[in-house]
Order: sequence, then structure tokens, then C-alpha cells
Amino acid sequence: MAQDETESLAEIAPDAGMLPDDRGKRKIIELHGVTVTVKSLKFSRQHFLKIDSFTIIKDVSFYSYEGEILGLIGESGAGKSTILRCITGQWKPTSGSVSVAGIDVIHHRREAAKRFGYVPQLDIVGTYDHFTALENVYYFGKMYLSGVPDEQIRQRARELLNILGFKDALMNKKVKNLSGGERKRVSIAVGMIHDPEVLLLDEPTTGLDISLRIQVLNYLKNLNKKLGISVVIVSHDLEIAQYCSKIVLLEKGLVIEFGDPEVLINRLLPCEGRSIKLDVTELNDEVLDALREVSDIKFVIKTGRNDVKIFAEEIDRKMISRVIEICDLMNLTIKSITLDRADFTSYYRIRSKMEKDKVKQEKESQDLVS
Amino acid sequence: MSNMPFVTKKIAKKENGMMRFIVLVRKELASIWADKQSLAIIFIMPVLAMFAVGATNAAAGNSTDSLLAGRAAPIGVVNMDHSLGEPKYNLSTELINILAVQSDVTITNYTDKSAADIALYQEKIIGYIIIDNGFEFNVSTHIPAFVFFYYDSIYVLAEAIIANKVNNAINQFKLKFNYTEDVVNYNTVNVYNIPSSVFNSFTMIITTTLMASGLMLACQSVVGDNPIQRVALSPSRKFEIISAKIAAYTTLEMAQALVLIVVPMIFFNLEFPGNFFVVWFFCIFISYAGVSMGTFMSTLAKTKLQGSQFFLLGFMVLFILGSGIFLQGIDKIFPLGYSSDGVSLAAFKDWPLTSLWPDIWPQVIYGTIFYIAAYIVLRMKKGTI
Repeated sequence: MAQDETESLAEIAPDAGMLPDDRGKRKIIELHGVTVTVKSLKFSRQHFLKIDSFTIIKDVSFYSYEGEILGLIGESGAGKSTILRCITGQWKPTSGSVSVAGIDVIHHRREAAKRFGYVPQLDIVGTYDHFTALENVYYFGKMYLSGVPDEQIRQRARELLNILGFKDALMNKKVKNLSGGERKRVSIAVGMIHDPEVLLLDEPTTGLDISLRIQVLNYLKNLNKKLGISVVIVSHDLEIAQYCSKIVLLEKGLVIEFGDPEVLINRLLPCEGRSIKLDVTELNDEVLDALREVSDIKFVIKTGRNDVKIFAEEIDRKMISRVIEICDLMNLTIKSITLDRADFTSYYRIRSKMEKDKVKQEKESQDLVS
Repeated sequence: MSNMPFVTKKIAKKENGMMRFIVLVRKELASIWADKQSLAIIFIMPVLAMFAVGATNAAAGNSTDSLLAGRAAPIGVVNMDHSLGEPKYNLSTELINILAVQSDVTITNYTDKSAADIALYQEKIIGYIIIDNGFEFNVSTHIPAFVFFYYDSIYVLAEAIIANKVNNAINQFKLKFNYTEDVVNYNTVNVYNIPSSVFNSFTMIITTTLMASGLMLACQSVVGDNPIQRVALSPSRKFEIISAKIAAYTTLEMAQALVLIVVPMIFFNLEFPGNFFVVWFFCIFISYAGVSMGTFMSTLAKTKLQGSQFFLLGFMVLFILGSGIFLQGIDKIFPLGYSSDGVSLAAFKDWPLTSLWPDIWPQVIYGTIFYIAAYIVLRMKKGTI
């Protein structure tokens, strides 16, 4: 029996779409105080059998507005996939709330499922190898849009695959005969067939070479722009930050930063992240130390074999001259010296170093006290 | 509705649970169809097996005593002998009495052959003996007398059981009355006139193949379905997912059943008096039982290798243990016995579907238990992708 969903939605999500914030946007994804603790039975010499508990993520809170691209970034084991599983309803958090398009995922998973499209990391679990690209998108489309006629769904599938760069011949090829990048795009199309409000992607660029990574990210940006779909990307790849409107930085199950990447960079780095990029003939530790000793220079990070980025209180002619002086003193030939801006990778590296130094200092002062 | 400007257009989508179920079944069937090599194996292998088993059966010897021991032997007797010979005894009655005290034998007397035939048809007896008029005169004058026994060829062991009992009875009769020569002999008559080798092949292959094939295919149905967790993230309910798999594989099995019924008709000239469509329709229950069990095992398995191992376990339980050949009575618990019974009765005794109910419901219950168990396990599985 066909049923119009809008009435049932009013019962379970009275706020869905009704409360945009003061900027006229509504929150498409919202997590509040989410903690996931798992228990397991362990053998031990003392107690023979004991229940061990382990917290994977703790008190995670963030949100994303409609139309934004949100990046969930962290190293392996940071808790990214766990958060994604809470958003998709695969795991129930120990505490906290998760909502997608205003619908509580924990209590109304099926309704929430209609609002998001999920693209898993592994292609093997994302599509049927023995079906063509078009068939995959069609079958998944029918699962979501069971009351919509077949021809309409096939038409939508073709449109989506076209946007994702598939010509007719390619969309009728079996997925097992497609390349890695093509399979990923089919998986994205499957995630989008039911016109979700948000697309969730788990490590979409893992396993792809650099050109394919950029291609996939550009497709996502295109989808975001053309179709207005919100996107959440889970990745350990810092490069995705440049495509994101907001970043959630995770470490050991905790949110350590959340916000616009530009704002985060400007907050941490001097001069709003502006830097001097220096490329010399031979770079060694002595040169780096010499640069760091300059009082106004705050951070120096190596970005290549013989190039560095220099962050200072003021990036001006005076600072450039100082850098050139140091290179002269050390008999270095400057291949190029340019003005640059910090990318998220630089920000992350500096931030990590600062954290490590802080921990080191704390330990040293504790040792002194004891 | 008017208060939800952001969502109205996007979410006013129609949901149709039945359509979604049909699509899931279509997807399963399309997946099966996409694997042409496996399809060929599913249909060709049982046919090859049928040829092989048929040839083997034709050359097979008698069953061993160990297989016959303890088997109930309800035998009918039509004693038409009124001749005289031995002054002190009624020899035909004596033979019948000796037969009656053989282990596991119960004797039912019938007035004529027709009555005995009816009892045979209704499965009240596994065979009957006719002692013709003139038996006593022949035996007492040392002229070889013949006892004819008619056995139900539907019951695989009937001939062997009756031959065993009658043989023992005759030997004891000879001993009692001091006959050294073969004064009493017997001839067997195969009622329903089905060549034994073909018959045994037909019922054995169709029932074991359908159930084993269903079990085997379905053992990979969940664990081998890599994108199943992504399907589970859609609005599809887990019950719909399991139901679609069982429905699709049962449908495939019905196609296989069609081949298995038609092939002996063409290549072995098998003619059976039963209704073709009743026989074919009965196969749904056999398929359902095997497929449901396989699907349940697939939900337990975490890898394809485990799925294969579970198939082996299921096969051993269903066929070796559940056949009842080595452990009497256990075939009443497992569905294989009911499948064989049902196919035989439908094919060779033209029983209507309504009369096959005693063979249908155990298979339905067996299949449904595993169907529900498969759903429960899938529901409990914390699937993650």
C-alpha cells in the first residue's frame, strides 16, 4: 500500500525542517554528547572471566548545516567509522543523541534512512559485481522508492550516472569490469538514487591514486553545488579539508577541533595562516634551527626535501629579507621564495607538534616537582 | 504540511512494501541468473546423478539383514486353499501361523485379492500373500507349490522384508513338517509395475536433490551477499530480505524440480499414474524445507567457508542421520522421509494434494522454524559496513 510519508514524519520529527537557525539554514546532521562504550568478556589470571569495557568515542558533539560539506578527519582508530555507524543507525550509542534531517536516528532509524545516502568504504560491499552500473543503481533505487515506477527510477539512475561521468556504454558494463574510480562513482550514485538530503561517505578516496582522488572529490563538490546535497566525508586524508565547509578533527575518540577549516587555521597560525614558502638547494637541520631562532618566526615546517614553510607574526618585506639573509649566511642558493597560505595539512602538523611539545613540557615539570 | 517548506518536495515519496519485496526477489533471481556456470551445475548435475544412480540400482543386490531388522512388516494374506492332503493339519493355515510369529510381522486376512489390493493402496500393508487353491494337496504330495506375494514397490524395502519373512517362514514350515525338498516356493509380484531401478532413482534423486540443492544454494545466500548490509541500511526490513531470499531460491528449486520430473519421463520412459502438477507442486514443500534450513545456516556463518561447512553439517544431519536407514524412527523428525513418501504417493498412487497433508505439514513446520530462526539471527547481527 502506498503511503504519503509527510504525515508520519510530522508524528516522529515535528522539528524536521521547521527550525532553521538564525542564518536561515537548518542542521542536517547533529550529534550531541555521543559516547560509545563496548563491553567484552576477557580471561584474566586474577578473575578468570571479567567484563572489560572500552570507550571508542566519548562525548562527541558536532553539527552540519544543509548544503555543507563536513569532513570527519582523524587517524586510524580515532573513532571516525564508529561515528558514521551511529549516524547510519548501525550502532546504537551508549549515550547521546544523533539526528539526521531532524529525525532521531536511534528511535526512528527507518525514517532517518530515507534521508541519507551511504557510500561504504569497500566497493565489494557497496555494489553487486555481477550487475551493471545501471542495474545496481536501479535495484537500490527500488528499495528506497518502491512505489515509484521502474522507468522513472531508471531515468533518474541514468541522470545520476551521467553527472558522475558515465556514458551509456559504461553504465551498461558490469561493475566487476570497471576500474576502482568508476566503481566508487557507481557506489556514490547508489547512495544518491533516492535523492537523500545528505550523502555519507566512508573513506571515499582510500585506495585510489592521486588523480582519481581529486576526480572523486571534484565529483562530490559538483554534486554538492549542482544538486545542493549535503555531504559528510570520513577520511584520514587531510587533503579533503580543502573541499569542506566544516571539519571535525578526531583523536582517540574525542573531538579536538570543530569548525570552518579557515577559521581553525587563522585561530592557530599567526598572520591568518599566511606563510613564506622557501625552496633551496640543500636543506638540513642547521638551516631549520637557524630559521627557528629568528624571534618573529613562530613555526617552520618542512614541506618537501628542500623546501619549507615559514609562519611568522608578520609576513612582509622585512621578514622576507631576514629569511634571505639567513640563507646567504649559510651559503644556500634560493631556488624560489614565494608567499603562500597554510593548508590544512600544515595546520594539522603544527597543531600536532604543539600538542606533543605541551605534553612533553607537562611531563618535565611533573618530573621536576617529584 | 505547510509548516515544512524544506522537506515537503523531497520526502513526499511513496512506499510500497509489497513492491519492495518483489524487487528484492527479482534482485535475488537476477543474481542467480547472472551466474550462468552455477546455473548449469544446478540443473545438469542432478540429471547426471540420476543416470548414475539408476545404473547402480539396476545392478544392486539384496539389502542386508541389518537393514531389515526391526522393520515393521504388516502383511496381508489371501488364503484361497480348500484342498486336502495332510490329515492332521491345515497346511496353508500352518504356513500362515508360522509367518505370523516371525518378528515384526502382523498378519491381516483378506477374503480376496481386491480387498488386499485396496489395503495395499491405502498403505495398511506393505504386501500380501496369495495361497492358491491346491496348496495343501501339492505340498502333501510333494509337488512344488507356489505362494505369490505382491509387494508395494513404492516402499523401497517392501520386497526385501517380505521375501525375508516368507523365506524364514517357509524354512520353518519345512522343518516342522519334515520336508527336505523345496515343496514351497514363492514368486514376487511388483505392484504398480515400476521398474525398481528407475523408481528408486526417481524418488531418491528428486527428493534428495531438491532438498540438498536448496540447502547448498541457500547456505551462501546471506554470507555470500556482500552488499547485504547496505541493503539493510535501506528502508528494506530484515524480514523482507530473508523472505525474498527464501522465495527466490525456492522458485529456482521449482525450476529444477521441473527438470528432474521431466528428464526421467523422456530418457527412462517413466510413466506414472499420478498428476504431474500435483507432483510438481508438492516439490515446493521439499524445496522450502531445504532452502529455509540453508538460509538459517547462512545467517550463522561469518565467512563463505563457514557457509560451506554449515552445508556439510546440514547435509549429514538431513540425509545420513535423517534418512532413518541407520536409526529407525528418526526419519519421523526430519523432512526427508516425508518428501520421499509424498512424491511416491503423488506420482505412483495418484494421491491428490489434499491427501498428502500428513507429508506436507512436517516439511512446512520444519521450513518455517528455520525461516523464523534465520530472521532472528539476522536481526540480532550487528552488521557494520
